[in-house]
Amino acid sequence: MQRDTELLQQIRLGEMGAFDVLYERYAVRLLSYIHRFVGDRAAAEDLVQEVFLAVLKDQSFDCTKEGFARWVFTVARNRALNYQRDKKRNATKLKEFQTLARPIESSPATPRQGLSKGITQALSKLSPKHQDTLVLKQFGEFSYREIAEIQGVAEGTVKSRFHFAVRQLRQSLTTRGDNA
Amino acid sequence: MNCQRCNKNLIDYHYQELDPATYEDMAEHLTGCGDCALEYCRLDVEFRGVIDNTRVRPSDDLHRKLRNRVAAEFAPSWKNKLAQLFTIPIPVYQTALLLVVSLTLAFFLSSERRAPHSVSGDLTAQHASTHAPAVILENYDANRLIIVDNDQL
Repeated sequence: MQRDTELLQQIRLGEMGAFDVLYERYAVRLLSYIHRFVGDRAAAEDLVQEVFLAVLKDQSFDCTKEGFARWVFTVARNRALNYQRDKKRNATKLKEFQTLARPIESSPATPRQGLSKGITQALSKLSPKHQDTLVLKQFGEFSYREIAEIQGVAEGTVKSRFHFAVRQLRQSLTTRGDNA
Repeated sequence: MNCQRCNKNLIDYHYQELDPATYEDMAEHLTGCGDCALEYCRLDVEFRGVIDNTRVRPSDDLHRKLRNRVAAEFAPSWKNKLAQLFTIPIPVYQTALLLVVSLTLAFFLSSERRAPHSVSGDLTAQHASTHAPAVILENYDANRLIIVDNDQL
């Protein structure tokens, strides 16, 4: 399997086969991650395009070093945060704020719809920081140290945030199960 | 390891964030303790649920659009093609060099073998063997070529 950095070099030389491989590796993970931030599929897809292009164009990344995934997710996180900030700044109506705060709609009905809905609700109860940590761990498949680098915090902070997020999530699910 | 400590480490165990020794202890405890194993299974299901529930599949349109933009941005230019030469692995260059050297050698060897036939000294030797006087070719002009009869000589 070719390394991400090798694919990156090939894409920069116009090799589109390498782009397809890299896209396959990152599209779902990036889109899912960004979607948690922006809550709008179309906007998330636009941001994925921007992130891919920014990463491919930016020559500052040293291709001889590892950590491509970490770099991509850092760029994605910054873009998503900027998007959120701009959207909030441009919002003139309270309604728009309410839309932002609303939990993300789940996908079409499946046999596991109950659990799915429960997880969505439980996730939306978490603070953005805890959601971010949880999703980075799940989709980014990063270690605590890597998430710490992305978020610019200490490794211990990431670990405690993640543990807290998981505990909260499980508690919400358990409470929901008891109430049902 | 006791159940309390195992429960505390369960999340880090799932994500392989433990040091090797603790990881081994955890694995051993989970093999022997039914309650902790069940708890671990629950945790695993919940994590899978989070992934399934938050995963968003990109549309085909996204791939097409992005591919077009990348292709437009990084279309191969003469600069890129030149740069590509330097990304070819070293064994390729070695093979190419070997090929060039052997072809050059073969060319020189064959030209050396052909060379003796074109030496003018051979002609002189031919004349000497037939005892015929050598024809003087000074001020030679092909338009006014004189045909010399051997009997006249």
